[in-house]
Amino acid sequence: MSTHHASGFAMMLAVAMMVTGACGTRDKRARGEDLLKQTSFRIASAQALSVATDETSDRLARDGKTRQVHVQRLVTVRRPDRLWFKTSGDRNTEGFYDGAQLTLLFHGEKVFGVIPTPATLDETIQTVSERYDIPLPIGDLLTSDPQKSYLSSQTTGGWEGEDTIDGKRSARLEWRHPNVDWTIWIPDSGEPLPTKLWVNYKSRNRKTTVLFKDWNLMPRVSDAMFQARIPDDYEGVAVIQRASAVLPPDAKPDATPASDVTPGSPK
Amino acid sequence: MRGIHVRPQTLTRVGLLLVIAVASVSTVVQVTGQTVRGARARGTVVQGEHGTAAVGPHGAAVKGDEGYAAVGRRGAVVHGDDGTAAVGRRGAVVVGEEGHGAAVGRYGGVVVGNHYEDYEGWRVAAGVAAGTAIAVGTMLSRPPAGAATVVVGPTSYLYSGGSYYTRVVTGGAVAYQVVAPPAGAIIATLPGGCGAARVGAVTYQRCGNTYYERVATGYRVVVF
Repeated sequence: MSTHHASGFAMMLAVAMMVTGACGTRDKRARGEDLLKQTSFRIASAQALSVATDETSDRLARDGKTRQVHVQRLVTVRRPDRLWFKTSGDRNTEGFYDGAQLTLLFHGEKVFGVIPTPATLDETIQTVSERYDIPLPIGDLLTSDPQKSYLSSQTTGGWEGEDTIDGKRSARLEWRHPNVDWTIWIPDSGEPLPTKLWVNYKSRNRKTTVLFKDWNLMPRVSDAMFQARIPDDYEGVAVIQRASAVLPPDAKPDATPASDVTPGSPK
Repeated sequence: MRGIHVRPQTLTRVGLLLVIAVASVSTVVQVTGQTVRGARARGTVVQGEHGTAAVGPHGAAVKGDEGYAAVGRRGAVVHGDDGTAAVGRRGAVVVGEEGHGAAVGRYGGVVVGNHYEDYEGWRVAAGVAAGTAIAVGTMLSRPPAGAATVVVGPTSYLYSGGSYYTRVVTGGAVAYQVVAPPAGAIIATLPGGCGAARVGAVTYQRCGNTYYERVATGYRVVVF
């Protein structure tokens, strides 16, 4: 084989490999999106749902050490504007969203905080996360369109393999975004309800692993379930908002109408 | 805020927001080396070594080396090196340089600051000796060991080593934020480094910038 022929063959091989790789990437993306779409449709079609989770969060603290928090969470949702959750383990908390406000109870400290919220669960999940910096790793799954919440134009990735999660063979979908990387596992058979979720909030130095169990897309719920029940001896406290949500970085305080400040306090 | 300095144009803008806050702000404005008392009517402007204070019928404004503040009937705006605070009738929003802000109402404190695991974590980071009073706004994940509960009206605080802590919710968890000594709080014993200070005809105990009056059960925080 002459040098000329050899170099031509190498170029063709390289092009073929690039094309194959590109197709592979596209296939993985399409396969991942398809699975996520099934999951999204199934969850969104439920008027109400409940699920139990096992969550482990690693947060990089200011002192450079990693703090780990492990909680078990029960969540019940009724679309479009009701949410209840309760955690146990390292944090003993409870939350009630009634379409107007989210009441957070901290049973260990006997305090509560109230967040004024938008009228829908979708908007509230976004507000709680972005304005109040309260992590809701499964929040996007609870919205009316999980796929839209999860995938943006900046998201890349897709199907990357299979793993066995809690005895269920599950597809592993890995996604990357400038602010957050996440991986979700969806069963190969049966209901396409996630078995596991891993989220890396890059800008917040926080990683969370969620194991799902006991999905129920037809739970029995009542209005009373979402009405906050605050024990008499609990004290109301302020809920801190993120600075970026309150004022633009270059805001001049003398241009801010003080009387228009949004209260973050209860009642 | 260590010093005070007011620019006329700043005061003019701020003045639009303010309505007779002289009484509520204080009729005593401390300026380095000077004190203005009982500002009334058309107002008083005093310039000191590190800044200026202005008090008038529409409110008060101060500006110093480390920021400025304006207070009126409808609220207050404060800006310093460590952040910005806007306080209104319905609550407060406080913003810190670390990217967090506080929304504060009738159940909470004011100001926001850096977040540490505990007092010891703050002390090491700050490079100060044990027992040093912690800066207002600082948040701790855990309260100081042995902190005493102090109740003022409907709100409970924790007190330790001259600092008062209120509980807040941040990032989905309860934290303990240092606040200015709440008026009316009573502690059993004074922290170290206090001394007698006479204000008018009354002698108080001054501990840093905090004044205490002697009461039957201990010492009560007085805010002028």
